[in-house]
This record gives sequence, structure tokens and C-alpha cells, in this order.
Amino acid sequence: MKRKREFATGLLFLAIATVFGQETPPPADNSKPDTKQDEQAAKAAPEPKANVVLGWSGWGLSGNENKFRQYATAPKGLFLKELTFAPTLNRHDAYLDIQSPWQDDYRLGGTIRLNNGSTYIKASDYRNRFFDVDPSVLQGSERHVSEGMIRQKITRDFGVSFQERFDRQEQHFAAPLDPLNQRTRIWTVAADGGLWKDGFVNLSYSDWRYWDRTQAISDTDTQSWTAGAMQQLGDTLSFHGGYTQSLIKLPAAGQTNKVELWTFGGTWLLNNDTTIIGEGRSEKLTLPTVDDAYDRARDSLRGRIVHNFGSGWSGQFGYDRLALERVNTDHTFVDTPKLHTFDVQFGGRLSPSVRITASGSRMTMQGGAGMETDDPRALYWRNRWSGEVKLDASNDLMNGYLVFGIHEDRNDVRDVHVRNQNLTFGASFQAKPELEFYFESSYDLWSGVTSDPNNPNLNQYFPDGTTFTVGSNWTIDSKTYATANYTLFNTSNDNPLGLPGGNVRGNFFTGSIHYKTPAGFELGLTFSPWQYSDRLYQGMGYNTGLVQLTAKARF
Amino acid sequence: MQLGKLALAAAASLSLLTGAVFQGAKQSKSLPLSLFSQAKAEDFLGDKKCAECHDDVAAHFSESAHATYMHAAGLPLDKQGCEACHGPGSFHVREDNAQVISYTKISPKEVSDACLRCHGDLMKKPHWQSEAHARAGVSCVACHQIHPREDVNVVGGDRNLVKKQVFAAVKESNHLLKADEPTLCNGCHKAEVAQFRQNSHHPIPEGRMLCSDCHSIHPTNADRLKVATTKEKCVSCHGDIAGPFAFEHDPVAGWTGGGCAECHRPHGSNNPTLLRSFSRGLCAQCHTEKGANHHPGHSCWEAGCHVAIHGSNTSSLFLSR
Repeated sequence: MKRKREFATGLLFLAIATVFGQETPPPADNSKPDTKQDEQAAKAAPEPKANVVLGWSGWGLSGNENKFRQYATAPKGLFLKELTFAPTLNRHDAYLDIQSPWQDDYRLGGTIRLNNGSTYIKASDYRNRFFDVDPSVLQGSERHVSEGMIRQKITRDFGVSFQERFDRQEQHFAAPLDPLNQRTRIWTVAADGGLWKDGFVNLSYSDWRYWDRTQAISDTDTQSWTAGAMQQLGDTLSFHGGYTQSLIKLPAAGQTNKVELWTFGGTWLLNNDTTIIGEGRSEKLTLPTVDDAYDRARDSLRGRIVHNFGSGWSGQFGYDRLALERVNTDHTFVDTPKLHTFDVQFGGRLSPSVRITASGSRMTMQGGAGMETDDPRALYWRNRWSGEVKLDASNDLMNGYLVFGIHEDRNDVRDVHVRNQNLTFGASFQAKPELEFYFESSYDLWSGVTSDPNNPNLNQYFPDGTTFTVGSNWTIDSKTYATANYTLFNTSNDNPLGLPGGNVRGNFFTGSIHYKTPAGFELGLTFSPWQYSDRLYQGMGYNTGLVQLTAKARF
Repeated sequence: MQLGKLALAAAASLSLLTGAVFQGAKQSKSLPLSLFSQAKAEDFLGDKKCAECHDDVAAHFSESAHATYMHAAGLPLDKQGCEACHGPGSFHVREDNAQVISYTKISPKEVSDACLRCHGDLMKKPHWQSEAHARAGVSCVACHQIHPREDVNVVGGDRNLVKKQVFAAVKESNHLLKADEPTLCNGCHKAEVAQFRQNSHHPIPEGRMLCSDCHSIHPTNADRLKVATTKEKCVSCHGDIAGPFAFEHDPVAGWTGGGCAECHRPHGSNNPTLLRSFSRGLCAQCHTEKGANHHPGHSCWEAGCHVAIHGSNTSSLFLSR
């Protein structure tokens, strides 16, 4: 491991040394620099730019703060909403982006490009604080990610890179679920690019480590090597192939699992209207860690033909075959199920202003796997199909759209099928170039049906839901700009167990107005009266009158 | 045996495809590549000449990320400044048969041909044409803007255009994109974006994630060659479910086809934790015999029983981690 680290560190130093040792970018291959254009380029170089946005925010919150903070924590009090700075210097440029520092949720990021992008350095650090939605007193959860990468071009088309990401997650849940306190770190060193005409190679090594601070999940170290190549022949054909080997080590158990993967594929532009695509992969898994059933092999083949029929109409047809070797629970025999999936898609214009796209797919399973559960009937879906139609119509003033999708999973052995239908439609209307209205409505309908006498109420656990949104964007004059949006979601749930989170409704209005002062500052006011309610559990709901004031300056 | 069959199929496919190269190579070059192949050094007039008529565009182009690259010393003439994309200036200004590459008029395929003249180190042309967006006729300029207009998100702007943003908390885009990611994706993927408005969702409306955190919008050459060996997309954040576990749950392990999506809807759901069904109905859709008689009145995991449903090292029934 130490040697691998040294190798990665060496590459990093090589990249850095190359940056500072590089006086000029790689030479051009077929022409001399144009002096006049260089002079002009210097004049055209972008000026340094900075944005600063200061803000004040109040939540006006009553009720379940945990639900309000389920995904994120909004800024509170006086805060620096945004600071961006984009300096440029001759062949170099950079971008610095700071959002809400010192708040619960913040993001710091930056990029540096040197020598017209020959060297690219990127780094970021961000934190997100949130809560389980249960209204009981809970410790907050937090995710904190730090990542960085450097890429250095060695030639015009070939470069080396190193990237590292460190992800810390500490989550607390309502009883009886145990907390999660984990760390994942992944670093990757890679060399990729073109070394010969129309060719591309990639070599990479990555190390992924997982630690569970609660000691409940095994610490894991996954080391992966990848090698691949791609070659383009003429303008019309490319093919590629690759190999990856991963060693998944569980130090506590003293076990090493191995996964090998071969891939190959190609794309052939048969003519200007027809494209043929083929891909295959073969995966072998050796998993001594697993005591029950697992796949020891997965082989897939995919083919697709895409054709433009002219007049804006096109179609495609695809086939995907997945063959598996699945070792059963007591490792005494191997099942060989095969999954066949066909899909088709057509799209085109019904008229100059109306476009339609229709697609469908069907998956069937051949063979299958033996079950060693109490009930030996198959547990998996043997048939799946889906279809979708999209209609989009527009003219200079209006745009309307409708999307209808349907998906069904079937297990005939247990006579069970689950169906989801989704209808989304909406429109926007440009009353004036400065004023737009829009709305959208979406219906998510589910059904789950089985004739199994032990499961008469399955459908009660497949609730439907609707969302609706309406709003307007209005540039009142050259100094004033306003937006308004109202979003509603509502679930229709039989909820036979009377659980929280099943019968909920959300009303979210957000209005904002921005004004540009004669001195060039931009002032903003956002008002968000939000209401969330659970019809069965009053304590789950919240009300908020979130207010945010901002002032923006550009330098 | 399976590997042998695959290798045979691969060899046959490659033979077939290699034979076709010669036919493909005969195809004549269409616009925009044809303009560059016809041009001589003196046909490139330089940005200054372009700015004489297109001063408004030239003024904003310096704000583009492209500006830094396209004015690099040593670049070939046909990859410098305005003419790198729009073709040699002399073809545009000549009186008879004036030609320029206008990205609002050429086909999506021709747009990608033009962009890949420089971005071939990221994607090969056939590679891009095999991607879902290209197959659907979506070109680079459907999402990217090369020379940014006056920022429409600034109050007023120079055109008083309305600001369109799907989710207000999402950070404004960089100048190479026409809008922030969810707003751009919503242009075509309305139903998927609508799911983010449901009660349970990945935190895109809150601005804590972007579509590209999960989706490779245009995977690069390197991305295509990096082959995933695990449930890579989900476990890059949810490391606790990566496994392998002593006791794997079949749908999580992936052989039934859907992987994590067997139980979760990644964009949004009416049910808590992105589940596609509520409470014990999620389990009972497969384990039908457990629907009514197995500890009735309780949910499967919230009751503290099957709490390690993603996989366990201690319990074949997933009763503990």
C-alpha cells in the first residue's frame, strides 16, 4: 500500500513539476502562431470579475423543525450568501466560489487553469446538515465532503491526473434504527488521452476505503485497476475495449473478494442517417465473503440501430441480453437465468410546431433461480414492460407539453403485478417578452395486485400522489424583476398501519423581487410561506414564513 | 464458456465493422468539416475582422471559457477565435456563395462534428453519436452557449429576458451552460423533474445535488473505458450498502435487473426514503405470502426487525447489521 501511495505522490509531483517547468503550451502541429491574433487575444482577455452577495434570512418557523431541515439547512441571520472571483492572467485563469461560509450548509470551491488549460486544478469542500423527519428530539445529521483533483497535460492530447475525495457522514435516526457514522475515501490516479492518431488509452488505479465508526459494518478496502483503449477508424467507426480488476478486502474477516470485468464495443456510423452500436461485457465475481446466494458471472451483450428517416423523424431499436450464473444459498448448485430486453423509440414532428416521441421496452426472464425461502415460489419479476409518449407543441407565445408513462412489473408465479402510470402536462405562456406564466400538473398513480390469499390488501400500500405548480416570471422594467411560484404536493394513501409520512400535503409559495439601484447594486427580497402537514400526525407538520434579503455587488 | 462465446461474438463484430470502414471512409465531408478542408491559411481573417460587424458578440465572447483556450499561442489558424467554430472568414465575406457555419441552422450531427474538431480528446465522433442525447437529436448547443449573452439572471439584462429557473435554490450556472442543470434537463425530461417536487426526493430542489452527480451527460472517452464493478453510482454516497455482505439481499445485489431501483425511485416518491411503495407493501410485492399474516400491524423495518435490509454480516433474515 505504501508503495502505491508513493507512486501516486510521485505522479502528483511529476504533474506539478511539469506545470512549473512548462514555459509554453504544446506546439501546434501544422501552423505558425499569428502575431496579429496574439495581440488581439491580449486585448480580448476577460477582465477580473467578482460578485459579492450579502444576505439576511429568518425562518419564521413553527412546528416540526426536523422536517423543515430534512434535506438541507437554510441560512439564518446575517450571512455571506455568495462570493465569486474569476481572475485571469495571460494564459491562466481561476475561479473561486464561496457560498454561505460559517452557516450549517456551506460550499467552498475553486478551479485554477494554467497554460491555457494544460494544467487543471480543482478543489471543493462542502457540508450539509439535516435531520430525520421524526419530530422527537434528535441529534442532527451531517455530511461533509472534501475533494480535489489535478490534471496535467503531458502532450496536447495526453495527460495524467490525481483526484481524492473524503466523505464523512454522521446520521441519526429515530428509534429503533441505529445511527450511521461512516467515512469513505477514494483516490484515483489516471493517465489517459491520445498517444497515436485517433486512438485513446486509459490507465487508472483507485483505492476506495470505507470505515464504519459504529463498528457494525465491516471496514472495506477496494483496489481497482483499469486499462482500456479506444480507436477511431475514419470518421465513421470506433471500437473500444477495457479490463478492470477489483480486489475488495475486508481486513477484519481476513477475506479478499475479486471482481474481473472485460468490456468491448463499437459504434459504426453506417451513413449520415444510420448508426449501429454494439457493446458487451463479461464480469466474473469471486466473493468468499458471501455466505448465501450471489452471482459468480454476468455476461451481457447489447445492440442498437438508430436511423433518421428524414423530415425530422427518427427511430431506434435495441436489444440487451444479460446472462447470469448465480450460486444458490448453500452453494450447491448454479442457476443460469437470462434477461432479454427489447426497446424501441420513435420521434418526429407531426407538424412544424408539434413534436411527438414514443418509446417502449419489454424485459423477460428466461430460466430463473431457485428460492430457498419458506415459500419456494419465485420472488423476482419475470416480465417488465414500459411505454412513454411525449407530446410537445409550441409557437412564439406558448409551449405546451404532455408526458404519459406506464411501467408494469409482473411475477406470474405469484400472480402479482405492480403498475405505475404517470401523467405530466403543463404549459407556459409568454404574455410579453418580459412576462411569462406557467403551470404544470403531474399525477403519479400506482396499483399492486395479487391473487395470493395471504396478501389481500397489497394495493393499499401503493399510494397515489399529485404535484401541481404554477408561477410567473416578470421583468417589470430594466431595474426590477419579480418571480412567483406556488407548488403543491398531496398523497392519497390508505395507510392501513396509520404510519407517519403517508398522508401528507405540502403548500409552498415563493415570491421574490429584485431591484437594481442606480449605483449598480442589486437588492433582493424573497418571501416563502410554506406549509407541510401530515393528516394523521399533527406533530409532523410545520409552517414557515421564510424571509431572505440580499444585496449583490459586482466588481 | 460464456466468455468464449462473447469473445467469438466480439471478433465477428469487429471483423464486420472493420470491413465497413473502407465504405465509411468514402463518405464525403459535409458542413462544417467541408469548409475547413477547403480553406487555405489566407482564408482566415482573424477576430478583429469579425468584430467589425459583430461587435456585440465579440464583446461578450471574452467572458467565455472558450476565449482563454482559443487565443492560445501556437494554435492552428483553423482553431483560433471566431473562425474556429464559424469557419474561415473569407468564405463568409465573399459576395458569391457566402458561407458561414451558423449553429441555429445546421443539424445536431453537424453541430457535434464542429465541436468535436477540438473536443476530440474528450469524445470521439462515433462515441458521441452512440450516446442517448445524440441519438435523440440533441446537439451540444441545446445546453451550451459558446459566447454568453448579457446574463439574463442580472436584473433587466440588456434584453429584458425573463429568468427561467425550475428550482430557485439551485445555484446559477456557469457561462458555458444556458441555465442551471435542473432547468436545462427539464426542457426535455419533464416527468423526471416533476418527481423532485414529491414529498421524498434527492435534494436537487434544495441545491445540494445536481443531475450530473448521478448522470453522465456526455461521458468522456475515459469515462467510457472506466467500467463499473459495483453499484457505483449509489454507493459513491451511500457507502454503507456497498457490500459485499455475508448475507446479500438479492435485489440489492443486482441480479434481478433493477438494483437499488427495485425498491427506490431515484428522482422522487410519494413515500418516505424514496421508496416506490409504502411501508410493508414494499416487501409484500415480492414476498406475497408475508402480506397479511406475518406480524400483522407492523412495518418490516421501522418495527426494529429487518433493519439491515440492504445486506447483513450477522443475520440471514437481515435482523441486524
